[in-house]
Amino acid sequence: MSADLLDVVRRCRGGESDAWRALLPTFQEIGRRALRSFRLSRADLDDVLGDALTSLYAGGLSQFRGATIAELVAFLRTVTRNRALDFVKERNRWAPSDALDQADEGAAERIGGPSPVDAALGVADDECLAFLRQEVGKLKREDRELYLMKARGLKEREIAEQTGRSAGTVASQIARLLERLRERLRDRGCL
Amino acid sequence: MDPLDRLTERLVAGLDRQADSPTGGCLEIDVLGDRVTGTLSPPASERVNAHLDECLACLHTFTELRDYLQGVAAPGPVSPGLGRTLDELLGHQPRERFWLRVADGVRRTLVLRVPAWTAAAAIAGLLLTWAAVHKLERPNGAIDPPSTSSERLIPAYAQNTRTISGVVGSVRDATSNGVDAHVVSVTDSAGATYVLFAWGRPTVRAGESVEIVGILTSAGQSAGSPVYQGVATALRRAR
Repeated sequence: MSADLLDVVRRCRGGESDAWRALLPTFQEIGRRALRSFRLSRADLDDVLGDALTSLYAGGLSQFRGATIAELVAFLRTVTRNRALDFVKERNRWAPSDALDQADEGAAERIGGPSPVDAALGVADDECLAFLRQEVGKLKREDRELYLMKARGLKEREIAEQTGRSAGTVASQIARLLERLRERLRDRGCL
Repeated sequence: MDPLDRLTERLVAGLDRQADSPTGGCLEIDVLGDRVTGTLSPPASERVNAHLDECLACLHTFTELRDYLQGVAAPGPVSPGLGRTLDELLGHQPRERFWLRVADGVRRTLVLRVPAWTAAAAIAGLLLTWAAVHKLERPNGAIDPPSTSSERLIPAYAQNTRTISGVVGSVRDATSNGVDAHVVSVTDSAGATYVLFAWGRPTVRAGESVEIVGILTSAGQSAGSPVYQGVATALRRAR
């Protein structure tokens, strides 16, 4: 599979139409998985993937210098996610002016920097984040993997497929571990 | 949003950033790939496992890679929209939008790294060069008198600036390196379209009637109507 796909990429860079068609399903699969956490609508997802594909076609793919399938996956992931970040940034920039006006008013009120209460909340949030990271680090490796997969937006069915467990087992394990984390965060005063 | 979800989102964003710029202690992506596909030797696999037990960033990359590689092994059907995009790129369904997409792709890949003022200066330079060349090509260096046809604008070499009234079709971001700029598309009452580069943040929105003072040149035709391009030097809502 690895050599075949890398050969497809080489042929794409040579401008072969058939190679681009062969690459498309793989690109789409990587792109969709890379964009899970962005929670885009289907139409927006297609737009972002279309933009990423266009930039690859316009010369972006020639920047790939890797020699392994994992490097190719990481490259396509980065291209897609960068495109999605641009998309989200642009969408926020072109939000309706009414919303912007309201945001500006809010910004005007904040002139002089965040209020002491906001600053305290920010510090508290950072501490809670560090605490969560520490607690996740204390989980069993198996639970840590489940947590990370769930956090990236994988469905329980998908997690089950990848870990070789039943969807029911995965669901109950995730529910248990999230409850445990919630409890620890509550004890710490983060919830 | 649930506080745990919010913290989790921040945690994953941090891990993503770490994956994009791995620190010295992190494993190479192809080593993790070999671990996913089971092609590492037993001792190497053991070493990788020991690292994954300790390093949350690498474990995150590992689970992500496992997810991607599973998708690569059994890709689903391509969405019709993405299929159409590729057809356009390959020239099987040439449409006007295709060129816009390619231009946009190139812009995002390359041009965003060029400051907006450089792009504006380049456009202005091209317009002036074009005007000068056209003037020199005429026997006595004379310029054409302004056209009286309502279907055609006076080109840049004959009149550097012109005021246009029309309705904004779209406003696209052209910000680069923190310098605000945008591209406005305007259609006038005769059906001519103007694509204009402007500095700063947009002050108009799609659907609004505007007046624009700009340096223009003809760019061709689209669906039988003339299209012009140029630089807007003043742009305001029509009163």
